[in-house]
Amino acid sequence: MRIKTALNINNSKSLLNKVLSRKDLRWSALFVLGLLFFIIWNAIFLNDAAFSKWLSAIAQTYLLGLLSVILSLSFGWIFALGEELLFSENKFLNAGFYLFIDLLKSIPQIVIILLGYIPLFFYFDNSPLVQTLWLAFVLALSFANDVYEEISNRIAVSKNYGFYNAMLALGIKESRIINRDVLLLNSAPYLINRAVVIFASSVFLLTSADFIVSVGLAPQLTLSGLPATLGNILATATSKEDILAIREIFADPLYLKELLTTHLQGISAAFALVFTLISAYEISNGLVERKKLNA
Amino acid sequence: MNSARNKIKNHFVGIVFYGVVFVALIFLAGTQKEGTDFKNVRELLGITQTDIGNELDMAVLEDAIKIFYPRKTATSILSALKKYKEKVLTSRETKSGNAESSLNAKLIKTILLQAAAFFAYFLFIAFALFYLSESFAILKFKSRNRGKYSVLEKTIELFDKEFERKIYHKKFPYAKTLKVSIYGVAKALAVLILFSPAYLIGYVFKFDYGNVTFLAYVFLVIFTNGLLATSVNKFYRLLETEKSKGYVKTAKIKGVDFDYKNSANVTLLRIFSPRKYFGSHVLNQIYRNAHRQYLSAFKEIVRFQITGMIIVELSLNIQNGFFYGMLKSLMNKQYDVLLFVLMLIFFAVKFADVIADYFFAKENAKYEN
Repeated sequence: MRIKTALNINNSKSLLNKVLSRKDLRWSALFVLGLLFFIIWNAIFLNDAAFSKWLSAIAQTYLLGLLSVILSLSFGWIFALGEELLFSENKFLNAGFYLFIDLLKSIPQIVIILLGYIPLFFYFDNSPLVQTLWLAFVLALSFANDVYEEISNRIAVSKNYGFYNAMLALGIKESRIINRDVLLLNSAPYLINRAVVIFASSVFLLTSADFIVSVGLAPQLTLSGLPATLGNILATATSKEDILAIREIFADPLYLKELLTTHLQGISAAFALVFTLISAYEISNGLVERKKLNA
Repeated sequence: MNSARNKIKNHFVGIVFYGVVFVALIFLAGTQKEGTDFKNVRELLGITQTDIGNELDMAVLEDAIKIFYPRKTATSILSALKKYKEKVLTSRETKSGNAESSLNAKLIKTILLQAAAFFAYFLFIAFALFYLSESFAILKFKSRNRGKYSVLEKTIELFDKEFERKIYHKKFPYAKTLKVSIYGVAKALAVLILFSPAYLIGYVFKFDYGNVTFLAYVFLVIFTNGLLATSVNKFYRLLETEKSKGYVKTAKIKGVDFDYKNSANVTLLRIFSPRKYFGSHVLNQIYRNAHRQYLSAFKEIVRFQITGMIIVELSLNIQNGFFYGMLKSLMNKQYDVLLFVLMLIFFAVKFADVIADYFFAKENAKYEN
């Protein structure tokens, strides 16, 4: 049977056709299905202890990613609205705000996240809720500037169109114009795209920071008590051996079977991370192409 | 031009302001670390040349204090000495063997040397990344404009054609599908490497514990962590945005070279040339305009590049590196050292911003004149 006929591509207006023809939807579906496949595969081949550790790490990583998206969107929105409606009226407040944004922009994100570990190690108690919220806050702070710039750009672009000044002249509150007409009605795809990028970047940076801390600060400081993430799993000796085993397939391609069944802990953690990044990249690209978002 | 000049001026205001803030914080962290009690005790230990770990030395010092000071003062000094001894002997630094003094002239010199090495690497990688991202983005742009579509779609198309025996080969059935599939697998592997964190690739190729050469380091920073993929995509998006502008459509109507398949102006050699020039092809103008915007947008990528450099250095345990010192100071609570390293990172990013804005202003000036 022809593949196109089997998949019903281009021949109908079915939901499947819609999903397959739109890159962002296609990759969103692929991400969810791929994740489900990983979970089933790992449930079969990983031992119970390793499987529950992997599952809780992936859930924790994604939860932190989602919290970081929500908080960074909120921070960026507060900064942009504050700049537009409050700070611009006060010279000192305005200067202070720009200096703060300047600092956020000029410190690489991974450094902000690594600095965020200081209170976790030395000053905070071991409450998982406090630690999760703190990490999400630090992640969000490192991305707040990106959201702020996106929202500011959207407001600046909207001001060039007639509707903004016309609505102001009609006496409609500026905050309402920005929130409803600029952001909700005219900038949703931009913000969704930004949210996808922030989610992927948060997952990547959190995993990398955890990996660095686990490798670089052990054994003086440990992440015990901190939320388990993919980075902790990747930093264990077992996972490192699993990753090293990848080289075996260059000598013996049939070793792939061993890799996918016996070296699963490290491989699945690594693959979950890379798969998340690729999916987010493709979803974002698809959204940009479909909605014709400006570069 | 004025806006670019303002931007550069703002960068310098930021550098001066935060330079002062960082220096003040470094002094504050340095003085708070010692505490006045411990400062006196350290002075005493310095004068008497006492080894705090040696019981005999300590007993002699305690006796000397009791003899030379009034009872009340001696009790206070001995109590401070006891606390200091406990702190030093049980401190994390002593346990780990990483005991190091706080910020001093020798340490500043070491950090500055490491910073200079980091900065040389940083500049080299930034220029290499800029060149590679533009080249690969143009290649992708050319390929898309030639009407090439995804490998998966092509495989499905070929399979269907071979299935219907439109292009069926008797000796090698499905040969074309297989060929494209193999290319697809190779491409998928390349994508996996591009999006893998540096430490995964580092472990697979055993680049760790001090055997990371200059080339391996540069390779890891540029080709992993998604850095090249995102920067190529950024420039590609700018090319696509330019392509949809009015002047390109006008050029097409006027008969300017638009052929991406056979044109001698858009060859691989020209695409990968450091000074890109596409003659009378419309890509020349599209490239020039996108390049100008990319100079400004590259600032964002530079920040991600530094993140990549930090990840490579710290995750692969490249000791004696600039950021490794930062991690050690974080672990040892040496906040003055940490702030000093942070200040240098801040300056590096600002310097990159100034350079990017300068080149952007220079490029813009050509059009304004």
